[in-house]
Amino acid sequence: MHEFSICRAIVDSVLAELEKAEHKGARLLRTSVVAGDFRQLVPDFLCNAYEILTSGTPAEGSTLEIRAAPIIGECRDCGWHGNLAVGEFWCGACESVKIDLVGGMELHLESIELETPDGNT
Amino acid sequence: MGTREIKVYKDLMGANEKWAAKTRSLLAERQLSMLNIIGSPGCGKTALLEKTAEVYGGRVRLAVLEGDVETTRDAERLDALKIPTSQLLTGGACHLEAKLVHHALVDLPLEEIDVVIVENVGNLVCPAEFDVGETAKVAVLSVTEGEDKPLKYPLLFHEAGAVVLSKTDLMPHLSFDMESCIDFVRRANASAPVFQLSARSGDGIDAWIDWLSGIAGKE
Repeated sequence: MHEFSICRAIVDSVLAELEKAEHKGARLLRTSVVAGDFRQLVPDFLCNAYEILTSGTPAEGSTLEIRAAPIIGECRDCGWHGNLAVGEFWCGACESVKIDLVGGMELHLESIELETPDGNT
Repeated sequence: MGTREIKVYKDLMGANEKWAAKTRSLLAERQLSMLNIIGSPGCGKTALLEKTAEVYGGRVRLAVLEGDVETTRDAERLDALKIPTSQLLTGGACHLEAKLVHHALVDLPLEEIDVVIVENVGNLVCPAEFDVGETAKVAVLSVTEGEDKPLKYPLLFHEAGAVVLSKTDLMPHLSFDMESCIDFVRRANASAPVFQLSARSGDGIDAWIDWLSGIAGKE
């Protein structure tokens, strides 16, 4: 249930963004985050936490979109670069286990979508 | 009405990482090492600390930050061994975060300590996600839990600087496959040392202590 802690960081960041003068009066429609596949996050738990934590705030009623990022490894022996399965960290070319993870642990707020009263896009 | 997308790009672990970095600076300044011990409830984390203190306590000054959801029972066990111990009660949270650990760390008598051991909340999932500023994470898996756990919880085993396979004195009563377990650890982590030990009998504890001495710079 660490999703709740992580969701608090999402909601705090979104509310800080909505506080900015240039966004005043705009309604938040959607929050988009990127979460690497090696992060052990359950999307449903994250969405439930988002609904609870945004309740009663300017972000209430918005949706949380979670975009997965693949686990990517780089082989220190042969230089191979490619996708890996969870927990199976060996080179797709030479099967070396000397693999550096270069993707899959991402966790960042990517964008927010606002409804603008004046119709500007 | 129209819509507008605003790019933000904000690291969601940034606040935790800021506190972890403060802890690393403090550890470096004081020339201290800190281990973050992670394993499921009942895997033998506290027993490992008790045995470590018994064998190693005379040579290196240990302190413990004891993370639990409820009760001070583990801290009382360690207090009995005269180790400076602070209890961190999460009140329901399933893991320790860097800010809480940092505040507890600065309250320890740091000038009297060489190694701080953080015993995380019993859980194989959530604590692996959070850097608390440690020198290394240690994954503890007891042989009663089954050899397949490194496959089921690969992040912890990937992040670990060392893996302890505990309660090996129970092996004669179990069908635990040690060779497969080590193979499963290797699928997530090519290089972490794996220690097979029993805190009850003391078997295998010397190799663990040697590694700990290396981490502490007290070889």
